[in-house]
Amino acid sequence: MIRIQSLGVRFGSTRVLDGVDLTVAAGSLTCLLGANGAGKSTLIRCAARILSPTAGSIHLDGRPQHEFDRREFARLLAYVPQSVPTDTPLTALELVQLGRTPHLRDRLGARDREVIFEVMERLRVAHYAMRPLAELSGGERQRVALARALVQEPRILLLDEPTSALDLRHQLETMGIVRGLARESGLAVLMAMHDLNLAARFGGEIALLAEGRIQARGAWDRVLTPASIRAAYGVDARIGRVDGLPYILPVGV
Amino acid sequence: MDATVDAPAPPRPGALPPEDLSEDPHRLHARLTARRVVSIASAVALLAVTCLLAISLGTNALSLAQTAQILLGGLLPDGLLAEVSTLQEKIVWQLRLPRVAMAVVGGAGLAVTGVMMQGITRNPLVSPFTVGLSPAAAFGASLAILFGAMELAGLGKYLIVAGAFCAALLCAGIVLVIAGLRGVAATTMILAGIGLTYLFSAFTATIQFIATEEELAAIVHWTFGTLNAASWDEVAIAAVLLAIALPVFRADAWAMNAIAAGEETARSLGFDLRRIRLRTAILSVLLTAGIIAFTGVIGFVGLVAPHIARLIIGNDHRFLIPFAMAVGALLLLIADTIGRSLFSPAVVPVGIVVAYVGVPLFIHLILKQRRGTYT
Repeated sequence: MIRIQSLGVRFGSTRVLDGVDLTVAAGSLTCLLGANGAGKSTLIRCAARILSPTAGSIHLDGRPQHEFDRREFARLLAYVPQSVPTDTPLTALELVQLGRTPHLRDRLGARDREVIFEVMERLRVAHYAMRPLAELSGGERQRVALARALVQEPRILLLDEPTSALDLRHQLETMGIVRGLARESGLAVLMAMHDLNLAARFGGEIALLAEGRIQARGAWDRVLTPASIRAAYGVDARIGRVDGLPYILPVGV
Repeated sequence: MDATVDAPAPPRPGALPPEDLSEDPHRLHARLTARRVVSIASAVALLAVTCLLAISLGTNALSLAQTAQILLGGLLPDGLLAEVSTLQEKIVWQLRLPRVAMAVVGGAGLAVTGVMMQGITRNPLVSPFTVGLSPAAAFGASLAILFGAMELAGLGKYLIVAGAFCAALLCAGIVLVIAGLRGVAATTMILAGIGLTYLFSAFTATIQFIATEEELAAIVHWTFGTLNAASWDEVAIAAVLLAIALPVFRADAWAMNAIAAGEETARSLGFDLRRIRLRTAILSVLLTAGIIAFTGVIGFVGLVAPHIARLIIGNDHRFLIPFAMAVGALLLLIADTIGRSLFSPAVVPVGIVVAYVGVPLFIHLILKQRRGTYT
C-alpha cells in the first residue's frame, strides 16, 4: 500500500502540487484524473522516486520511501512512464526481461523465464516478443511496457496513462487485467488517465486532481458529477448508465 | 460484466505467425543464448587463427608449423613441428607477438569503450573520441615532440606517450566537469567534444607551424596511428587498464540494456544512473587514453566495431560486450597485418588501413541489416 501525505512539489516558483493526501490500499485500483498539467504525472513520478517532492512524505507499506535501497524499491514498486522510447534497439522480449533485473544477479533463471512468458501471454504480447520495439505500434509498445512492470512482481504498481494508445478492445482487456491483479494478487494500483469512462468503470476509487490538490476522492458516482467535471476540465458532461455500465459524455465546452 | 473481454483475441490482420513464444520459453531461451554464445566463440576462434596468421606473415615469413613451434617452444621438444632458427624465435617473441598483442588489446579496448559510451548516452554516434580525445592526445604528443622528445634516445618515446596520455586526460577532465555540471547527456558530450576537438586541433596546428621539418614529420607520423613500436611493456600497461575496466563494464551490462529502455524506466528498475554513467565515462576515457597514447590515433575502431557487433549479435550487452571486443581486436589485427604486408617492407599505418577495411564492411552490414531484428 502507498500513503502520500501533504505532498508538495514546486518547479522554480511554479507550485505543481500542494498538500496532496492520497492513500492506495493493497488490493485496490485508484484512477487519478485531472486536466493536462494538473500534476498527475508529477504525483506519480514522486511516488516512483523519479522526482523528489519539496514537501510532504510518502510511505510504502508503512516505511518511508527514502529508506528503501534501489533494488529493494524496484522489487516493491513498478512504474510505467507515459511513453516508451521509440529510438531504442531493444526487442519486446528484451524490454520485458529488464523487469526481472531487480531480482537477478546476472542470469535469468528458470523461474524468471516462466514469469516473463506467463505475463507476455496474459497481455497477448508474446507473439511479437522478438520484434524490435521501434517497429511496434504505440498500443503494442504500451502493453509491452506494462508487461515489463508486471514481471517485476511488485506489490505497488504506478501507471502513467497506460491506455492512451490502446484500441477499444485492448483498453478493456488491459484494464480488466490490471483490476484483476489488484483484486487477486493484492496489488495497490495508482493509475493516471484521461478516459473518464474507463476510470468510472474499472477504478475502485477515483481521485480528481486540480489546482495542485485532490479535489475529490471516492467511488466514481460521488466524484464525477457535472459540477466537478465542469470545475476540473471546463466541460459540460452528461453522466448516466447503460446496461449497468457508467458513461460520461462530454457535450460541450 | 466484462465476460466478453476474456475471449481469446482473434488473429490480428498482418500479425506475424506466432512462432516466437509459442515454443517452450525455456527452449526459446536456450536457443537464443546458444546462438549468441556460438557467435562469440566463433569470433574468438577466428581471432585466434588470425593471430597465428599475423604472426607468420611478414618480411621473414614463417610457416604455420614454425609459428606454432616457436609459440609452444617451452612445451615441445626442439624441432617437433618444424625447425626454427634463433633469429626467427626473436622475430616472433620480440617483434610480431607484441605487435599482435597490442592490436588485440587495443582493438578490444577501443571497441568496448565505444559500446559503453554509446550505452550510457543512448547515442550510436558516441565513442570516447567524440569527446575530443584523439586531437587532445595528438596535441600532447606534438608538444612532447616539439620539446625535443626525439633527441632523448630511450626516454623520448615515453615522453611522447606521457604527453599524449596527459593531454587526453585533461580533455576528458574538461568534458567530465562540463557533464557533471550539465548531466551526462549525449548532446552535452558531443557539443563539448566538438568544441575541444577544434581547440586541440588548433593547438596542434600551431605546434606544427613552429616545428622543424623533422619534428613535423614525427608529429604527422604519430597522428597516423601505428603499431610499429609496440613492445611488451606497452602491451602490459594497456592490458592492465583493460583488466581493471572490463569487470566493471560487464557488471553494468544489464544497466546498459535498461538505459536503452529510457531514463525513467532504467531508474525505476533500481539503477543509479548518475554513478553508472560517471564510472563508465571515467574508465572509458582512462582505457582509451592508455591505448591511443601508445598507438596514435586509431579511433575509428571504437565507433565501427560496436556497430558491426550490434548488427550481428543484437543489443543485449551481456553478449554484445565480449562480441564487440572480439570484433574490434579482429578489425585492428587484420588492418595492421594488411598494412604491413601489402607494400612490404614499407608499412602503411594501421590507422589508415582500418578505415579501408572497416568502412566497406560497415556499409555492407548497414545495407543488409534486417530492420534491427535479431533472429
